[in-house]
Parts: sequence; structure tokens; C-alpha cells
Amino acid sequence: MTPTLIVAAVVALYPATTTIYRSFTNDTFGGTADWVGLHNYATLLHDTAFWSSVWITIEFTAITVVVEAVLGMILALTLHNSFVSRGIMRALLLVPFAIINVISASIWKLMFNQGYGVFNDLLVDKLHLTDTPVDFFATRTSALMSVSVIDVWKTTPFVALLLLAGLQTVPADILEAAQVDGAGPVRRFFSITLPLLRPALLVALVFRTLDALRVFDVFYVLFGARSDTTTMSIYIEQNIVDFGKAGYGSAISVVTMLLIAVFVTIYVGLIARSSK
Amino acid sequence: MSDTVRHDALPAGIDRRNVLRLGVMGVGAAALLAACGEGNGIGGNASAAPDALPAAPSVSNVATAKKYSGSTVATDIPGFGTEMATTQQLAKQFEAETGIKIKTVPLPKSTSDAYAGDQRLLAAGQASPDVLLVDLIYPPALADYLLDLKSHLTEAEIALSYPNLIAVNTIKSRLVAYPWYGGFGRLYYRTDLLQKYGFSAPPTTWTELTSMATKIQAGERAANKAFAGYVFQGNAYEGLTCNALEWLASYNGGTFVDGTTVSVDNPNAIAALKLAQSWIGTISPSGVTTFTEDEAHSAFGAGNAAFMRNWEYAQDLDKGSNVAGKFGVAPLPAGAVPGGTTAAAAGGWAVAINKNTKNAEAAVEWLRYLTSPAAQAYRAINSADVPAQPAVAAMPEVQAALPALKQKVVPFARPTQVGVKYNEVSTIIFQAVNAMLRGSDVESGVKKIAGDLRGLIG
Repeated sequence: MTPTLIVAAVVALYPATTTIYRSFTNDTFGGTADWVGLHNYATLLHDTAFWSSVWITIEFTAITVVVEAVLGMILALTLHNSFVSRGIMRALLLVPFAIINVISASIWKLMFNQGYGVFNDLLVDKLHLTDTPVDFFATRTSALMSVSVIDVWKTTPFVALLLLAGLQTVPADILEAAQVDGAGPVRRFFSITLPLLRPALLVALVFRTLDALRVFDVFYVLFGARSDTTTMSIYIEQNIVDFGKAGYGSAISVVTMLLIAVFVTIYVGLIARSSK
Repeated sequence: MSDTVRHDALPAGIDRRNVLRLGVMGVGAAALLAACGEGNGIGGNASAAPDALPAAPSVSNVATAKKYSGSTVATDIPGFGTEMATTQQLAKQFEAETGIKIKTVPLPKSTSDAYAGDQRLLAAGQASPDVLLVDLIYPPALADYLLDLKSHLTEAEIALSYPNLIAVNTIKSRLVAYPWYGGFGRLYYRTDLLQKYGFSAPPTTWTELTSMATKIQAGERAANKAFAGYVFQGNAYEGLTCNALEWLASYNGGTFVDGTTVSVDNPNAIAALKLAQSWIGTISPSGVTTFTEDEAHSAFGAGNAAFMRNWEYAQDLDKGSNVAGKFGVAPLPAGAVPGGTTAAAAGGWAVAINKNTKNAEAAVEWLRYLTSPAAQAYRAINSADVPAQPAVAAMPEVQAALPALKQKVVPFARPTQVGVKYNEVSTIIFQAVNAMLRGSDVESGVKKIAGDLRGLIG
């Protein structure tokens, strides 16, 4: 027990308490680090750039988590029922997930490129759907959609694998009994498979939601420091690293942490209920 | 070109009107030339194997340097490209002749990442690296952590550099960094296309550039759908601050913050930004709002653009690109308003010594060699770095390697006098300008910049 506590104290407690302490100071590069009480938090309330970062992050999270859950479920069901080389299929599924985020984001950025990207090559030169190449990052909405596509491509397989593992625990005899009783495939899915899958689904959702709320790399690679696509994590990085404002940046980190905690609490509540 | 000014006249910002203007504004800290590290950091774009480079010049200060033989100096070097290779070559030469061991620390690609690293190292009181490379936008922010070079270099050595570069690096009468090389915004244009569409000279005003680009683009689009009239750096990053500064200054619209006054909300600045906004989707692809130097460089290099704004390094396109031998370099266009002028964002890097170094003497000798006229000429010829000394810039072999040096330049400084808050100032500027390029209203955008800047620097 004690060694565990020591490790936890070093890797989790120390950084967390330092961040919380710092969030009450005006710690700045080239300046002082004096106690300022709640001043940073008061500033944060009226910081429109911060709230804009909160909203884009939550929108991104909602879009990607929902789409990934639905697609992941379809993928898992398909794989569960196919017998041909299931092992190979599962391994292949993980390929997008295994590529380093920054690398895959850079590749997607090239594919989205207005001048020489593969999507515009298809749209303009091959399919002749449009005359002028599309700028996929032009507006906030189109940028958000583009980045969501990348995230869905990358992490749907992860959700699918978790659900696939869950599917193995659904007893085949119950499904067969239902089939004998005359329940169709849709009825069997919603009445038997989905309820039994709930724990696995919730675990997948927790992982994905937390990951999405902390998103940094894809946005950073695609849009840099653009204002309307600054996520919470990018805003923290900008304040601490670029501006040297460790105090204010820590306050943002704490608020972000609290926000994530809210989501975790909701999910944990759901998991607890589903296991009853 | 008739208005060509010899580069050795450039240092002071040549243009008398410009000198006067800055003088009148009393831009104290100021620095005619306060610096634009190429937004994208140092390194340039070309790549060449170090072995393909000629031998580095011999060490002129070898006699004094030998006294510190056996000690080790850790030094920042550019992180990639030919700039890294030439610097490594100089380090090897120095090691071999003096016996001082040089430990090289490559810098990250982005200049703000390099600065972030410096912040952490210096604030923590680290003694290494002993020698730091500093983008000219950062001396005011880092000054307290750097050695005063006035007590280590002779007055004659200091006098070799352009006086305004020395001024930029002198904070509270301490010389905290010694100028290494410069960089200025330049207009690249396709000589073959100008001829094809009946233009005899590159544009001298932005309005002229707009109409020339429109005509050329209309003609070229028939065969090449990806063709654009004008490409520049429109991504939300430091490079856009440099571009926007050039637009504003060329329209006689100030430099966002002049002295201690936020000056951006003026009609000339709004006119300049409105023109730039009108390019998007017409002579510039809307994707230009994600362009850094690299994207502009490859679009122009592939033959997909008539005009490009970039730094001197882009002359490497003369070797082995689609446009080799088909392009020229000119001063950036002026604003078509009274008081309009060609304006180039001034950038560059300087060499500094960590205040906590344990090898100050050996570090000074390395700095002395790295910034010596011979080393600057070597780097100008082999990695296209604009010399920070007029005598070097006037050397015929340097001018042959960097033809842009013969062009007129009216340098403008980014508002680095705000010190540690510079990154925030620049972020306010480039984020708002990037939003304007993507279609948001210019007038309210300028108001927002002005309001945010006033809120920040008071």
C-alpha cells in the first residue's frame, strides 16, 4: 500500500497540488509569483477566448463521441458475426489507432489541402462535382467537421474493439432462445444485446469523452493558434508556454480539470446504475 | 531597377522619411529594426548534406581562444536545413583549431517554441546552454538572463554591425545579444509570366499587384486550376503578424503599437486590411489562411503562383524547382495612399550568452567566431542568411549569392518594445487578422485588436 501511495503522491498529487497552488498566484515569466487569491478565476469568467475554447471542445466531444459510438457499434456487430479471418480484421482495425496523432493529423492536413489535396483532386478533377477547390478549414463549422472526421477515423476502431470484447460476454443461448420465440434481429439487438453491452459501452464512452475533452494535437497541427479553433488544452498551452503566464494558465487547467470531473461523475453514476 | 539602393545603405532603414517618422514617434526602445525572426523559426527550407559544403573559414581569434582549450561550450544551433549544416561546419572548424569542445543543441523549428525553451531554462537558472540563439523579437523579454557583451567585445567589433541591430539588442544600455543575421520580407515574382501578360516590371503598389495578379491568374487558370495570383503567410501565427505589419506600414498605417501607444485603429490600417481581405478567394486561394512560409514556398516553387511574399531563403527555388531561372525578387509593394512606402518586416537572429554560464570566456570566443565577418559571409553564401554587417553585405561574392541584397528595403520593426508581453500582442494581432482573412468584418476586427491591445499594455 505504502509504495503505491508514494508513487501516486509523486506522479499525481504533487503536480496537481502545484497547479492548484499556482492558480492562486500571478506567476509570470520575468515577473513575480505572488498570491492573488481568486483573481485569476475572476478574470477567467469574463475571458471570451476561454469560453470560446470551452464551447469548441464540448462541441467536438459531443460530435465525435456520438458518431464513434454508433459507428463503433456497427463495426463491432459486423466483426462479431463474421468468421473469416476475424483475428486479422481486428489487427487491421487498430492501424489508424496505432499511428502517432501528430503524424496522422499532418497526413490528413495534406489530404485536405486546397491546392494539391486528394479530396479536392477527387471533387474537382475526377468527379467534376465542383469547379473551384474547396477550402475545408474555411469556417469554424467546416473546420470542426474536418477535424471530427479525423478523430472518428482514428478512434472508432478503439470503440469497436471495446464493444467487441463486450459482445463476447453476451450469452448466445439467450439470443437463440429469443430467435426461437420469434424476435427479429432488430428486436434482439435492442432488447438483449444493447442492455447487456451497457457496461462495455459506458467504459468506451468514458475513455472517448475524456480524451476528446483534452484534445490538443489534431487541432494544433491543423489550425495552429487560430482563435476560433483553440481548444481548452491549446489555450492552456498558449498561456503557460507562449505567454509565460503560469499562474493564469494553471487556473485554466484547474477549471478544465473540474469540467472533466463533471463528465466523469455523470458517467460513473451511469455505470453504477447499470451494474445494479 | 532605378530606385535600387545599395544594400550597404540599408542598415539605418535607408529611407529618410522612415527614419524621420520613427524618430518623431520617439520610439525609444526602438529600434528601427526590431526584428522579425522568420515566423517559422530558423532553419530555412532547403536541405543540403554538410559534406557538400565548402570548408568553413579559419578562426581569426584562434590565439585568444586557445587559452581556453579543453573547456566545453554548449551552444544553440539552428535545428534543420542548410542553416544547421553551415553552423555545424563552423563548430567543427572552431573545435579543430581551438581545442574548445562545442556541444551543439539544435533549436526547435518554431521560434516561439525556442523562446518557450529559453524561458524555462533561464528562469530555472540553468548554466547550459552557454550560448543562446535569440530571435530578434525576444531580447527585451530575455534581457535579465543574458550577459552584457559590452564588457567582453571591443567597441570596434560592436561597430561592425548595423547600428540599428545593435540598438535592438541593447536593453537598458546593456548589449544582451550580438546580431548574427537578418531577414526581410520580399516580393517574389514570375519573370516569365510578367512577360507573357505584357508587364515590364514587378508591381510597385498593392493595387497594381492586385490587378496584375488578377490578369495573370485568369489566364493561367485555364490550364492550371490550382494557380493563384498571390500567396503569402496567412496562417494564425507569427508570420502573419509580419505580413500584416508590412500591409499597415506600407499604407502609412503605423505598426500596431508605436512607442507606448496603440495606433492600429486608423483609416489607413483599415484600408490596408480591407485590401488584403479582398484577395482571399480572388487572387489568393482561401486556403492561404493556413499558409506558413513552407506552403507559400511550395506553391510558388511548383509554379502555382505569380507572386509570393517570403524571406530571402526562398531564393533557393533557383536550384531545382519548377520555377528555377523564371523568377525575380523585388521590394514589397507600397500602399497607394499619401505617405505609402514599400515596407519589409525586419527579422533576424542574434547570439547571446547565458548569464549563469560557467565558461564565459570560451563562450565569448565561440560567439566571436560565429558572428565574425568571415563566418557571416560563409553563411550568407551557403545558407542564404542575410549578413548583419554592412561590410559583409557589400562583398561581391555575397551579393552574387543573395541577389535580393541589391534590392531596396525599408525595414519596419514589430512592436517588440512591449517586452515579455510581445507574444500576447502578436497573438492578438495574428488571430484577429486571420479571422478577417476568413471573412470577419475588418472595422470591428480592428476595434477588437485596439481594445485588446490597450487592455493588455494599458
